[in-house]
Amino acid sequence: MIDSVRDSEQPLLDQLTEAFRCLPGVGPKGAQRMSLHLLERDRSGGKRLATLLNEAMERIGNCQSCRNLCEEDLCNICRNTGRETTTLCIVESPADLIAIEQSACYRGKYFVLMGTLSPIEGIGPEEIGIDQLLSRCKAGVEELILAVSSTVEGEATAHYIAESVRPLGISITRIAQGIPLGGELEFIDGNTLAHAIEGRKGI
Amino acid sequence: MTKSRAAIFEKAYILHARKYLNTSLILNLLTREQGRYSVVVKGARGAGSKLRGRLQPFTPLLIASFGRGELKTATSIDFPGPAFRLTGEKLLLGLYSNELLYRLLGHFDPAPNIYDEYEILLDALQHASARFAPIRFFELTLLQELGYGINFGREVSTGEPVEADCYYYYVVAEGFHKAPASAKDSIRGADLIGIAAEISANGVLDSYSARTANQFDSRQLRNITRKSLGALLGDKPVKSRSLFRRAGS
Repeated sequence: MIDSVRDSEQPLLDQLTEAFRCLPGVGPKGAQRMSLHLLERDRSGGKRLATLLNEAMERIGNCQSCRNLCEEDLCNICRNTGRETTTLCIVESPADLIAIEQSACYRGKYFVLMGTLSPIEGIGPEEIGIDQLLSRCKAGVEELILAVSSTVEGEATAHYIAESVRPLGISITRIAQGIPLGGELEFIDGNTLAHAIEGRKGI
Repeated sequence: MTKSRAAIFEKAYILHARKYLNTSLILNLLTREQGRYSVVVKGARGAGSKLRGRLQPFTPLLIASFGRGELKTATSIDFPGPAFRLTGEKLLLGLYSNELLYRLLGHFDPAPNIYDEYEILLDALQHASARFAPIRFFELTLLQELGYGINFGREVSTGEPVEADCYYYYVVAEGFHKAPASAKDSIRGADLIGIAAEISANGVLDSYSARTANQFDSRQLRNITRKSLGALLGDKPVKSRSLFRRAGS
């Protein structure tokens, strides 16, 4: 009995499986499958993952200008001299920045909040880098575009930033909220419709 | 997964929603019948979900759930009415009230009065013009319901009724003491009498009218509720208060 328990004990394998569970959506079974897959079938892939993970965790930090994830002091977008420096687009996360970049509709610079104001989660103005944003705004920004989510937290974040930046006298806009392209009115929920009607514009 | 009983819908508001797994949400709810608790809503963030984007704070919900543990699972969610539309500072006050409820209410501790008062608060935040009166009134009711009500009508050491032309100062867990003339942070007896009358009249919505707004809007009353709530909240600061201080100033 005692022997069989000892036989199944493999501290390194257990630790590896446990470590995979830090990934979102990975439970005990999934974590076990990942570690067994790497050990049984893809040792070279596992080694590559290990070195890259190590290197990425060491070397990827935040851009000193826009807070986006990057390896250098400044990210590519902030270093790019071809982009307009007078507009600043505020996004919640690097994923949002990538989404806007892929739409290829924006040629200005960004500021990444790395979250939204959420008091219950302990995320306040400091955590979203408000001081850094303000000093950035003082350096020749003419328009601030708030590209935050259409959620209660996004709304609160937009309001807070707008109020903080207002004394600087720069133009502040928020991206439109309402009917998606190809959306049929009949199937749109009441709250979205109310927003859309309130935010209607002349044509 | 026994569903022997028919689904019982319960009135609820979301205090906080957080992402869970790929497409699910965990909602922390304030319900009328069972107080505050959490439910998982499976698939709520999925591409085809009707609930996607709709599970926001300040939205009246009817929710049916099952499960015996701390974390229930939602089986059905309905939207009986439109969401309260809070904007700007009113929205921040709404978040502040959510943080208070999140931190002060225990799990599965039924508090129908607090629920009703919360609904009245949201309505007042959306419609009333008074700036801070609704939230002050809500704080006072919350303290009352939690068993830490403040007696605005009497001087605590003597038990005598408050006199209109005297000044008073407040001590947490005790009450109002007579203040020496022109003491700092003291509050006029007449204001205390006015507040006491409004509270006992229970005319909640009337208290948001312009007539009483000044008494409820005062800095002194803010300090009184802040001290009293602070004693219950402990050392961890109330994060939403930082939203009322403008950055850089």
